[in-house]
Amino acid sequence: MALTNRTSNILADHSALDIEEWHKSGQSVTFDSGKTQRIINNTMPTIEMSIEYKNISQTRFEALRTQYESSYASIFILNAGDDIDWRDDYLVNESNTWGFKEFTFSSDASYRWSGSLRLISSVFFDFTEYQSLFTQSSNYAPVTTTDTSFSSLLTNDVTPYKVDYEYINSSLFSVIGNSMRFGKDKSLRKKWTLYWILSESNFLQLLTFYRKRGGIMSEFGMPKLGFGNLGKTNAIFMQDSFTYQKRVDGLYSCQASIIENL
Amino acid sequence: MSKSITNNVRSNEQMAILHLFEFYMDKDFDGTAGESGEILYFTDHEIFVNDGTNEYTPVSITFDRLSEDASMQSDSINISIDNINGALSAEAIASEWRNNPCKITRVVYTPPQEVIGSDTYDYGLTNGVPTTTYPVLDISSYTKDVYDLFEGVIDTFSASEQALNGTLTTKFIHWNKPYPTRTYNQNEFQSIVDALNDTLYWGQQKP
Repeated sequence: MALTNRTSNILADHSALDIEEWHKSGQSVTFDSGKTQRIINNTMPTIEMSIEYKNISQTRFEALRTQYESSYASIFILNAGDDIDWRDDYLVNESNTWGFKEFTFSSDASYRWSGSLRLISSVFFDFTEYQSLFTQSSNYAPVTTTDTSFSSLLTNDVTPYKVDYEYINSSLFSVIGNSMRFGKDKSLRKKWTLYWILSESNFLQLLTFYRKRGGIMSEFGMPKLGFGNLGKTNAIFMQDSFTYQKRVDGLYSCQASIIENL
Repeated sequence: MSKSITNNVRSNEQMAILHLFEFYMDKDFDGTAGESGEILYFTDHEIFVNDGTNEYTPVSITFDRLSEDASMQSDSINISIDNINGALSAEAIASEWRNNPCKITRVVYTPPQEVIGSDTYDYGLTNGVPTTTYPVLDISSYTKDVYDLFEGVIDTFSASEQALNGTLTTKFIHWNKPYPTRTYNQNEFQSIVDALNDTLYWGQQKP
């Protein structure tokens, strides 16, 4: 069996599951007897599941990141319990195959994280007959850098009060009906959105940095979490993503999106 | 073959439909399978489908509306097949696909009753898929109506990394093909001009 079982790593410390299940019922047709018949094009239910996390630790967040980064374009096994995913009851054991759809988290820059993982059920089962149809792989390799221009700004005066953390997944996915089948790795990038409320002098430091490095040619080192100075990867500002307002109290409220540049 | 749906599969209000696709990848000029005789078997069902003879591979495959008329004009049908693994476009480019036979079969059946755990489902979800080997739907023993939805030849195709799009045309396209006209090449033409210019002199060639 080739697929990785990620059940314990993903489901640990989750706070809620948000599930939608639907059958691919087709249209109704009337045949010559006058009876209306319902056509079922395909019969296997598709399950979309959002796994919610509230205030998990940095360690747990890192573990979830590892799960996502090693499987963002690959199918894996997750046993969410028979009441949710009963495919192992009516199909075969270990037929609980899933693929990642979204990874969105945010932090108040205090090393506690909240967010969700969105999964969709797959029909790419863990048998040679299925697996030999396609070789799957997820090869995420962030480009590290030693540039500290931005991280020193973030750790000194320009500290964000909130960081949104997500991934831009460009991979292609094959689907049958609503179910995912398999994916083809077409690169993964981290994306951070940082929110600040700053005094004028600190805001001017940030604005100056943006004006110097806001162009597409200007890469800088971005801390992997979006704050602090851990593990810097190559990144650039997303185009026109820096916006700010001057408030009546004289402080500046601003935000910017930064994307990893592979 | 009749396209009517019998009472076998419509005794109740519910029925299932799946499609089986066959593409001949290699054939001789007489229309029979060629040396390799390779045929691709696909289905739009989610798991493998076995009809007792062939096993059909599940792929994301769709086709648009097919219209039929009595005028014997060539109707065509556009299909789109998932090409994420690139295998299909590699196959299509490596071999001469065009003009090869293809077939779309429609299977109408009532999903048999299935007991899952302690619950009985009037219409089974998987219709008795084996629980120890890989998931495959065996329709060979079902009461079903099977008919050829479309039979024709592969006309053109184009491929991207996501999908292979093809046009299938009915066999009546062969009635529509123009008769090849006689053409002359330059050498022939010159000899004809020479013959015209050649002056005959009292029954013998001019010296």
